[in-house]
Amino acid sequence: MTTSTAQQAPGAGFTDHTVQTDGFAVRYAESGTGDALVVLHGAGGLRHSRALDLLAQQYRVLAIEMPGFGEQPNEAHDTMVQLAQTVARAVETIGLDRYHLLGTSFGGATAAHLAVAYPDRIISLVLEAPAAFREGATSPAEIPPEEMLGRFRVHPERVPPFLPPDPQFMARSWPLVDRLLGSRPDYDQELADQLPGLMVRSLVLFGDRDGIIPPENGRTWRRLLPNCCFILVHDAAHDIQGDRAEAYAEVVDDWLGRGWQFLLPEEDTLINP
Amino acid sequence: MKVEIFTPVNYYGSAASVSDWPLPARLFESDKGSLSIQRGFEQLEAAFEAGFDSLNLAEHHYSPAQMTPAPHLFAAALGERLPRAQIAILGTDLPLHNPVNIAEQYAVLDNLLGGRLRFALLRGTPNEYMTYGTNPWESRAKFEEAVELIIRCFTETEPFGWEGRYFRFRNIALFPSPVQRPHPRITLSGNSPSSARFAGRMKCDMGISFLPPEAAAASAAAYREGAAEAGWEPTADNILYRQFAYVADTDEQAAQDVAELNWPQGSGMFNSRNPELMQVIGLAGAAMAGVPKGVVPDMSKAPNPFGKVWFGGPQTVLDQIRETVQQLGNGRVELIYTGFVNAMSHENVVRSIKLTGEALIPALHAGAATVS
Repeated sequence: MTTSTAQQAPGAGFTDHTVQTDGFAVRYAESGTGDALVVLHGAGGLRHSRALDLLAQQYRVLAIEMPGFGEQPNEAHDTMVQLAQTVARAVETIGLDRYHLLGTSFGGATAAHLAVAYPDRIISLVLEAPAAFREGATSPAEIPPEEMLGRFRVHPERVPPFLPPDPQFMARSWPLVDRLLGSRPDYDQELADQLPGLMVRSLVLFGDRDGIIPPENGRTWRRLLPNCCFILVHDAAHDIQGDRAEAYAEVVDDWLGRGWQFLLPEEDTLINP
Repeated sequence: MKVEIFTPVNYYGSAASVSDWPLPARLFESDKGSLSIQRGFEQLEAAFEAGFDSLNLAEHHYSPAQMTPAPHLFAAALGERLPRAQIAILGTDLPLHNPVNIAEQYAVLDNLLGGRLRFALLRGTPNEYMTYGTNPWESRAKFEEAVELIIRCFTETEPFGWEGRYFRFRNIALFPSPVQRPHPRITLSGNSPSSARFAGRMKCDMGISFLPPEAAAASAAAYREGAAEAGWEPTADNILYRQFAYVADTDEQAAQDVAELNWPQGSGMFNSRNPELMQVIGLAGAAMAGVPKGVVPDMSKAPNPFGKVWFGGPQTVLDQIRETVQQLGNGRVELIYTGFVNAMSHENVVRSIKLTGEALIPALHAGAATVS
């Protein structure tokens, strides 16, 4: 994996597409070739990053804009399970039977529900600061604007710059986030009861300075999922992709490509023969 | 014949029954941890009183089977408690570490122990390559260089540099040096003929763990060949054989005790509940054995790594040990009473150690065929 994408604006290599599912025009951005990696965004909506650009060098990355986070409102879904089912159907309509699935924050919770409902479709799962277990968390809606940046990013100087949620976007999408996730308890017992039966290979990532969901919530996933690796990304807050793009892409790529073998480095350390 | 004991310092808490590597830290109970350390000391103190010739520890990680990921710390404390005991660490998982630092640690430990130290340099178990993230495919070549470097650390008397194939240190000067000059006796593994040959070439002792006697005998032969290539001839005292042992008053009592807790397996060691992780552990083991990267190992062709364990009444165990010695020509046996983990009660372990001291050790020291 090279870092040549540093010269381009994040997402420059992606092209936009739309697929009709469950009455929604589901937009998705796609780049790259190889095994499919379906990406589900956080509550802030679909955003591009250098990390996804790097992953698109190895994988066919499809970043799905979930219903309710674009122009079209979503009044149809009342639960994460329903949203996850629509996302799964959208991916199926795109033509993917089996794929890697990566979800960020709200999208991490969605991805977990999707994996529980359709484990046979998921090659491996990556959950970036997933929001299904939020013990000690602070809702972005409660964070004063001047604190927002520091909660999401340790390194605001890195590209792309962190953009606070657009008020109009928030007005449109936040009721959906609140309805599906905010109304749920901080510890989703219903999901917790299902995770021990989910054998999908799962990587859970948290920034060790996450200012939204305390990284200690990663332990819950590690404890409940029987096939789970929990990794803290150092010097990163909630937006790990923004803070540590290269590290994020490397660990995800290694996990998707090698699974648990990623515990065994393959690189030779021979200095000279 | 020298008789040594290896105490893994089992964890005696409810987590000991959980067979899952790596074991989550949340399962560690501090009071049980303290109790386990105390019991480890008690077992070694009982062994010293019983007349064992060396009290041995080893390095393993992330498991209730062994509470000694840094065994030199335990050894230093043990040395304070038992100022006349010979102590060995058999051994260090060398590929996980900086070899110069390992040399420094052992030099300091030998000073702390006043020259009572022996140690082994080993390649570790397959899971250990996942402890700190170590490439298992280059395990052997890198290990062998590290062994040579460590010996150089002990033998070079002026600051020096090392321009190796795998290691580059431009500035090495061991200070303190060990008390035993040039260095304490070093044991290398003989669990394969190639390892055994290397041990002979390095003029080190050889330790064989658990192998069936026929395989162990092949290693012993390779060891002697390697030694001959290096111009020396090992004696029986250079060869150590490690095996599980349990001695009770009678064969019947021993059989009952070992059956109760599935000794020596107990709840296992270094097994993961995750089948995908177990596959990778198997892959690491194959890589250590020389299976190239990218080749899926055929585990059905892996040789049986375990010989018969020794248990019974005193005469039965003595007969078992003597039979192995006859095949192998070893002058040292190292006995493990605990099993892996959760396999034998502490009380039974201590009782067995004492009985060994009363009935077996005098016979083994004397080369006698019948117990005292």
